[in-house]
Amino acid sequence: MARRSEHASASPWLIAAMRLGVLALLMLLWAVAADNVSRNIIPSPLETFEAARRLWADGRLPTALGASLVTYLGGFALAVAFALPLGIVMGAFGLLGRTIEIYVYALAATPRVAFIPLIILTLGLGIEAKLFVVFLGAVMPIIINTYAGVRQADPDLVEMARSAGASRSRIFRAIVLPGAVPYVLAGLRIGATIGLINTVVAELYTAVTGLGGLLALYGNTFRMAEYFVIVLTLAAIGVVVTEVLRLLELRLTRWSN
Amino acid sequence: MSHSPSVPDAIHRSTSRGRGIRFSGVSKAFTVGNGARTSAVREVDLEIAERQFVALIGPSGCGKSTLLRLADGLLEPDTGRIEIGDAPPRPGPAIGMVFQNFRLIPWRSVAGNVGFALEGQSLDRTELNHRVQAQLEQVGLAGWAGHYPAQLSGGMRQRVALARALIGRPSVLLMDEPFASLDAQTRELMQDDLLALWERQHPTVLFVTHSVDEALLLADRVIVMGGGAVLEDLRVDLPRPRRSTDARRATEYGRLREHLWSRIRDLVLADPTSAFFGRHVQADRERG
Ligand SMILES: Nc1ncnc2c1ncn2[C@@H]1O[C@H](COP(=O)(O)OP(=O)(O)O)[C@@H](O)[C@H]1O
Ligand SMILES: [Mg+2]
Repeated sequence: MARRSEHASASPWLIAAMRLGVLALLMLLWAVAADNVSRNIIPSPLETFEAARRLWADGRLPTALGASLVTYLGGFALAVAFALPLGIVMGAFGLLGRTIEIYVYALAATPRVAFIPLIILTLGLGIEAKLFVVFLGAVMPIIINTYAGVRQADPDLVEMARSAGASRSRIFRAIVLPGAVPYVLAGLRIGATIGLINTVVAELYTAVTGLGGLLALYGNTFRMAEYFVIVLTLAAIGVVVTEVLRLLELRLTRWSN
Repeated sequence: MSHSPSVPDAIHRSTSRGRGIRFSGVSKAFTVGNGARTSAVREVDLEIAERQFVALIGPSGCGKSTLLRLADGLLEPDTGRIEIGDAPPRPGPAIGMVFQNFRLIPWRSVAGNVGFALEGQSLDRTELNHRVQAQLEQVGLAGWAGHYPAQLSGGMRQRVALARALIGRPSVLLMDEPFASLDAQTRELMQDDLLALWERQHPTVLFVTHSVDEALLLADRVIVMGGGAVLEDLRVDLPRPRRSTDARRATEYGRLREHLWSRIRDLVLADPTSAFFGRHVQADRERG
């Protein structure tokens, strides 16, 4: 908590200015690197910008971005819709949780790429298979964190609520679930990161489409400026999603300042 | 039994109907890690008259908190009976409980915490808000309804916990070392406020403390516990209203204090290995 308040005390303007400063520094490093390493490996910032404009104008980047976002956000939404209720139910009913958790942990520990041949055989190469790959990556951390958050309800608060005459269901709604929110948010953040990785994996291993498809295309043909555009686009998606989740977290945990 | 004779008659205007607390042959044991049973409360017989203020004092682990949980209906006794008024205790706003470490809900505002105890009842929103506001005014937190616990000092958090316990207009108020984590000045202020409040509403109070001075300042009666049993039951006939600053001047106070300390010395000598009174008692001793 002390750490958190320290964190909050740094002015947001200062943080923004520092971030821009680091961005400028990275651009500078990039320009220097492009000048000194062969043009064929590291394109200059200007070349990359030109490539981005081209890709955007001829519609390839918007199309790929749209396809990737559908896969990513769709798969992630499915994972949330499945994992939140499951994690909550596992936490609420101890026996069920203890029964299932071992399988969840086992599945979470298995590299998800191992399932891709099986997924292709059952779901084909289309959007269903892609959604499922993203789903599979994002779902485990959300289940595990939601489950942990519900189980780790503060026993002192639960006893206080009992003393106030609250029913079991009211204790669950008023104490246990809100107490699990920080855990759930952490799970969502991990799930979102893995989901983005799996989006690219799905686009490389199933029907080659989207940003992952372009990544493979430009990487394999050494069109490094275009390749850089795709990498930066993926990074931007990651930043936007993480920031949205961070804002959600700030909003839901305003009370902790 | 009647209430303490030193209590002014104005008290009978109190809104809640009085209820005493009666323990008859109450025992409670817990199962610990290796399957063994550890006895927390043994054969306790205790009768607390309605509107009496009773302090409960004794070494750590002697069963004070367990006794309070039993009186709140949070635990069932293994043997014996407990009655609040003429019925077994049932957790709810009619029995107020204040825990040592406040136990405020961190994501709820002050008003949300205080209202929590009433939400199980079918009050409409305006009535609920009205009662929360009135209760906050009573504990001196009128302007703080929208703040969160993390924004409050220790003393203010304790006031919120007290307001939450009082909002159901309980006839019985159970307090488990409520002021132990406050600094000395805040503690004295809270003691005075609690006394003033008790003189107005007059619930039956069972108040656990580590401090002999706190017990003598607040209570009509001091119960000394050890090893899960009641060892001594002492009447405190100091005049009321008492305030923290002047109570200690009474000669009777000195006599009672000396007596309690000799009992505590006996307890230590009888069982030098027991985890004995924490540093609060140490501090009391140095002050006294
Ligand atoms: N829920 C519980 N489970 C197991 N043992 C407990 C539990 N609650 C209390 N005890 C044990 O019962 C004894 C009395 O505890 P407690 O009533 O908390 O003492 P006090 O409040 O006087 O310090 C202690 O030995 C404690 O370890
Ligand atoms: Mg205790």
